[in-house]
Amino acid sequence: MGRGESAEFVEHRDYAPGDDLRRIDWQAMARSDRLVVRQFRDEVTPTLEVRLDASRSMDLGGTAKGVSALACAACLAEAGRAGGFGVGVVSAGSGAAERVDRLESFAGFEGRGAMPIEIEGLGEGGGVGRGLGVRAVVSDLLFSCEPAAAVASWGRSCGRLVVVRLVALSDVDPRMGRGVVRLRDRETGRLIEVVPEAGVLGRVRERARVHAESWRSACAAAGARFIEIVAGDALDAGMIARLLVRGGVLSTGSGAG
Amino acid sequence: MLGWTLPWALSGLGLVLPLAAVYFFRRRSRAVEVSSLLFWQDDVSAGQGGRRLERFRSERSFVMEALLLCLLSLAAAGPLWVTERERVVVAVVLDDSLSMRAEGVMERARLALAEATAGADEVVAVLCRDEPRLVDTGRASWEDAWTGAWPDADLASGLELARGTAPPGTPVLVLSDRGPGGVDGALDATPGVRWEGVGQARPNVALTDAVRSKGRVALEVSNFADDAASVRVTKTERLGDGEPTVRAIDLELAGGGRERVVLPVGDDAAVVELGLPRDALADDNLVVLAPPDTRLVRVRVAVGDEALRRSLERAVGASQRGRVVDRGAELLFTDRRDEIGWSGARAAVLFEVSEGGGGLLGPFTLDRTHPLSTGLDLTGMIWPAALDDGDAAFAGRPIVMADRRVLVGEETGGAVVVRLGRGGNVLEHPVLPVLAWNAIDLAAEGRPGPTVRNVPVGAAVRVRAGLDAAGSSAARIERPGGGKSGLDVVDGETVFFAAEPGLYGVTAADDGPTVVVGASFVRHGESDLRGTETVSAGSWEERSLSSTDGRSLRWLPLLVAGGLLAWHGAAVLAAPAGHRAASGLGAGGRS
Repeated sequence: MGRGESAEFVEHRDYAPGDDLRRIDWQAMARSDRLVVRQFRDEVTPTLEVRLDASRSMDLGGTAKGVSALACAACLAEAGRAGGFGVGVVSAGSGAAERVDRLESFAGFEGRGAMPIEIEGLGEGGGVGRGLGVRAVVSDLLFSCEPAAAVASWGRSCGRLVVVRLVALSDVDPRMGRGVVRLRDRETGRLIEVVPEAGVLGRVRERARVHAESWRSACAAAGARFIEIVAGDALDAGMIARLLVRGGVLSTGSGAG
Repeated sequence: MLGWTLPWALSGLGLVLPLAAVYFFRRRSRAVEVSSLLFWQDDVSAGQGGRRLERFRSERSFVMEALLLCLLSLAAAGPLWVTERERVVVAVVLDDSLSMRAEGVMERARLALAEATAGADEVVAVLCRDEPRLVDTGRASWEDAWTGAWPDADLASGLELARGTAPPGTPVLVLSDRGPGGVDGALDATPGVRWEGVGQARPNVALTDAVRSKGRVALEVSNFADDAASVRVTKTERLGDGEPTVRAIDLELAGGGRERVVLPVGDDAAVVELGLPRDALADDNLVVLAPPDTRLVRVRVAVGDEALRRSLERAVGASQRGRVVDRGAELLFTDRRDEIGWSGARAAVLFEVSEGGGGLLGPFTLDRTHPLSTGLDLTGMIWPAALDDGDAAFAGRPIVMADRRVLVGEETGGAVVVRLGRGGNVLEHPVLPVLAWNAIDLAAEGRPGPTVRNVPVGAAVRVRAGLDAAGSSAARIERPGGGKSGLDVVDGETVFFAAEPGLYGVTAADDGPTVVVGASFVRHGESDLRGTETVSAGSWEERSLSSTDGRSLRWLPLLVAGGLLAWHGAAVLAAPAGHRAASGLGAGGRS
């Protein structure tokens, strides 16, 4: 809530250079020979923008990563709605961001490429476009960028930023059998060969840890909240479904406010 | 035209198949989908920017390795650019001496000859005997003639003959049972001399000399070994078709020692054989001796000077090789020149006795090459010089001279002239019997038939041909193997070589008697096998025996392989490193 231009008058105060001349109370000046301006109290509805990384890597086959991402977005939306926020869910893939009003309108995790770092406006009624809301970014963050720059960019037009790092267990703790393994990038289709020896797997785990830590540090430096979720393979799909319904993402007829 | 040095090495190309199999099974990997390769890039393998060693496991590595295998196989096969070249000529110098007949030596030598000349179009052969002989007959012919039957082999001269006779650049092969050490500079020639020594140092006991004279044989047995040896010498006397008489004696020979033995022989024995037990060189264990020529030369002494005549008659009797006759003389001693013409003697010695001109004390000059000077020693001689022995008037060959005076000489007509004055000590000095002896020998050699009866194998036997019933000269020979042939007679003489051991039957005229000549291996140097050795020295140029001229192209696949290796190594090293910091993420797309 802040001061705006809604109709409820609050008080007068002396004019200060730079004030809008339209706000000068000419009648009061006539009465008191002083330049005073009128102040009003405005009512603003808080908003929550959930940005869901819609790239392919978020829907890794054989894991509950995709379902967990949707569930996470739904939970955030539900929480926001319960707290009186106006909620908007936006899928952000490689293309233009799209508002997701219904599950049917979610194009799925088909994006190729990085999660956009520059957040473009969502148009009329975007909610967080006026810098008064909360933005939550749900992504595995598995792309090449400078975490500090990304966090600064994402938090530029919102009052508060929440970064949710949602990864599959195999992303941060890979387990593979012996022999040469061809790793296929879910998004780019690029293939590389590795020999998943213990040392190799240990280095991968370490890099994942360092990666998460770098994002955590960037968020802390920017005053953003950093949450890390590892999607377990045994995630209860029924529970996710209930969350999605309650969060309104799957509900028919309830749009984001 | 492309050829190969080692065509079988091309089978190495087949190694590409197992290599492909290795790659196939190694590349048959599992595929796993991951959200991102962000955390894996530093452990990329197989040539995708991973660890350097692992980059050699890529498809490109397979292509490289397969290419290298192929190129190395090609290089190992030795590609040649083959062009036809001129006829290949090889000169061979063959040791034809007796020691080559040692056990197994000739077989090895013939084998080495066949191997060394297998690629030759023409072989120039030199048979090394006491004098080297260039043989230009067919190969089969000179190979048959190479029997190792000669008493010596002058390898140095043979090598020189081969080098001088063969076309320039011809490779030379020397085959001997000895090494090249005894021939200076033998291996210095270009394009190359190969010396194949095929001998083997072994102990040997040999009969190294044997002489038969009337009623006895003198024998020398040598032990060519460092250790003492006991041998039994067997003497066999054959008389016509009767049973041979055999006797044996045992000898103890010190290491490297020799023994000389004289054995009695019956005068009527046609052939005497001396034998030793078989050892490393069998051929020097048998000596065959034909009976000596015991015929006495008929000598007529028609000299007026009584003292001189008696001296000459005594000399003839003392020689035991002549007897004094009044008619039908083969040798005439006379002091009358006209008697030489009608006497019919084969040889004549004319004593020109004149008034003395004083005694000549020397120095005397002797022609040692003349048969009459053999054993002649004028020490202490006071030669009774004639008054008018004008040296300038002598037409013939001087044999003994004092200052410019010819004392003994052979006239152009063949008669020997002895110029004597009065006085001196010629009748008391041994010079007269020696002259008489030599004159008897000279007359004996003029008889039809062989001049010697026992010779070493390889020796030349001179034969005086007699006149047959038709009045023409003819001679025939029957060799030890039974082969008979006529001999070409020139100026009443002919020569044959005793090329093999055994008995030769020589007939000097169609209606004349057959005289037996014995030939045996008796040679010190050749029987001593301690100096023989198996050695291979010197070499030919690689292409000497090739019937084609092949220029090696082995460098080409090696060069390509080296270039490929360098390019591959540079490409691998220059590939982007796979190590990227997981946190060093620049703005941009996913990995």
